[in-house]
Amino acid sequence: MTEPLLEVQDLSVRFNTDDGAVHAVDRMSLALAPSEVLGIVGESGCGKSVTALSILGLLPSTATVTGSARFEDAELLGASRSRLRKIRGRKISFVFQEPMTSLNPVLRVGNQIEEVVREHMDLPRRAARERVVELFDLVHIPDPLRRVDEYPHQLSGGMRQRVMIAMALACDPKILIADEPTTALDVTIQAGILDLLRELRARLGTAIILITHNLGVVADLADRVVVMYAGRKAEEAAVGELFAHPQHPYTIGLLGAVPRAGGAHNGRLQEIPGRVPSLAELPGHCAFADRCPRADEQSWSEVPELRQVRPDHVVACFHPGER
Amino acid sequence: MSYVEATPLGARARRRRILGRRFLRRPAAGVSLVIVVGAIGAAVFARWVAPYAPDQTDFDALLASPSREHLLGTDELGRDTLSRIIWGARASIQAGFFATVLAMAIAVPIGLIAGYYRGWLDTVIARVTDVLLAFPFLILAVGLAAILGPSLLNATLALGIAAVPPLVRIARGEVLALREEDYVRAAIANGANDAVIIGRHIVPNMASTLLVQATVTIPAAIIGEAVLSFLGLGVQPPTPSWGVMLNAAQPYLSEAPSLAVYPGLAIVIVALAFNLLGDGLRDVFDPKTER
Repeated sequence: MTEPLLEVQDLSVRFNTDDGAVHAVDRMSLALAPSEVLGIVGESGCGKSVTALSILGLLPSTATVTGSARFEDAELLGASRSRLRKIRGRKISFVFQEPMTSLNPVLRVGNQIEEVVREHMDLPRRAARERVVELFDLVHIPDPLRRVDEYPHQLSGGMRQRVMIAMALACDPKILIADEPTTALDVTIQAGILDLLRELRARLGTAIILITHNLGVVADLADRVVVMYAGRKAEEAAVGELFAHPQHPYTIGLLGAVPRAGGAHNGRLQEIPGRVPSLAELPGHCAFADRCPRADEQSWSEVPELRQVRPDHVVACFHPGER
Repeated sequence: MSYVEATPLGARARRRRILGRRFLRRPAAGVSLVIVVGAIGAAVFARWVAPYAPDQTDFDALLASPSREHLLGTDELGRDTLSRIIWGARASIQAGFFATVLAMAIAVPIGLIAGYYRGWLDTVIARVTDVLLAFPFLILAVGLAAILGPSLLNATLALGIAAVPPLVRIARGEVLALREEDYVRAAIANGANDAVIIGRHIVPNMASTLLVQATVTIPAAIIGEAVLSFLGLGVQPPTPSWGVMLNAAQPYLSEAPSLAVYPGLAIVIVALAFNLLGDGLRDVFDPKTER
């Protein structure tokens, strides 16, 4: 494996709330190679967004972050505000879930991107302007010269998400973190955005961290997948390996819940019984035990550690296996 | 295709038209706008609008009833009431605008600092604001004016400072809400510095709220100026001001009640017009109202 671009080790995030500490992320480790697409999958509240936000210090001050996140030989966790600001948007940039609200309604979209360009690249106004038009072209916004002067409310959701992606790409970042980039869009638009991300990776060599709860999106785009459950990594493997040989019962459950045309479930989707445990009181046993068909005494008394079960395939389960 | 595409209207022009249409659909707002513009016009162009100079006496008509020469009658020195009301609008409008501008200039930066940076400073600012809000606006203004000494300038300063606490609270609340907006989070994630976030993302989005709030502060300051002048803490006679006129009318309430009625009406109508204008603007800027 080549030298990773971003290496996260033992990242834990705790939120101090009035009702005690909430462990949002527990000893998470990730490695992202240059121009790799890493999918992070899990249900709502499993800590996937928090993991990404914590890397750039974007969490509120109630969060305590421990561990390490190294990017280009420098530690990001605990770095100064001004240092982080030079990385945010310049080297690592974000695309958020909500294209409808992620653009300032009172500014023309072109100006908003221009702002990012000028913040980081020290370009004169004219050049920044040209860069914005170029970016609009890059993300396939038709008629860019006219679109740059429009306000967000004049653009559709898909167009706004393209604008957000253009903004994220403004300074040729090394890493693009896309947090549920297609969730708020309808299906045909989703496909367009995913095509765009794929194309950008191929053209610009940008590494992408794709955060989603949609396994279809991951299968479409990712090279490697991390499955998260209750703040921990449950399983990690290359995308083909994971889909062909899922080991963790949670992953198997997720795959069973993906609708497939002509599927073998008699038209009924398989669900995973029960709910995600509250992160306030992480149990001293496997967090998935109460929903797991394979749970036994060991599951109820110990926390499973990650171990390698197949080549380049780790899983945190006492009873891994495809069935 | 058979249809002709409508001439593309600029986005800004189109929005302005929609807002204008929303505004005109409210008759009260339209009438208020006319009154407000009229009052400002009277204040600015008093020299040309008023039939007489404010201190011009007519000893043939002391405490006169309305007549062709003096449309609203005269006071005990034979000064034309209409002319004095028109000239008096100057003090009211000046106090109303400059006090509001002053209050905004003080309150908005404080609100921004408190709401944006939070921390102990925010706690201090919020608590001090709460304490000051416990004083009614006029009590605070009267107290400050008494300390500063009587004059229109000092009355304006007192009113401006007294109007700060509620504006700080509103500005702070707005900032607290706006900093949670996705576009502010996105700007932070893109490495924007505080100046850009505040100047480009937060302040422009507060503007409509502040504008509406100004239309509430202006009439409060107009009434406040009248109160201070009435109490002798504002404009000093013989300079005309609605408050001064009310005060001067006191000894003649039984003989010439109109001396008190007209300036009183002027205060009520102008203050009401500003308030209704504010209501209209709020409806116009509220994105939830139908076009």
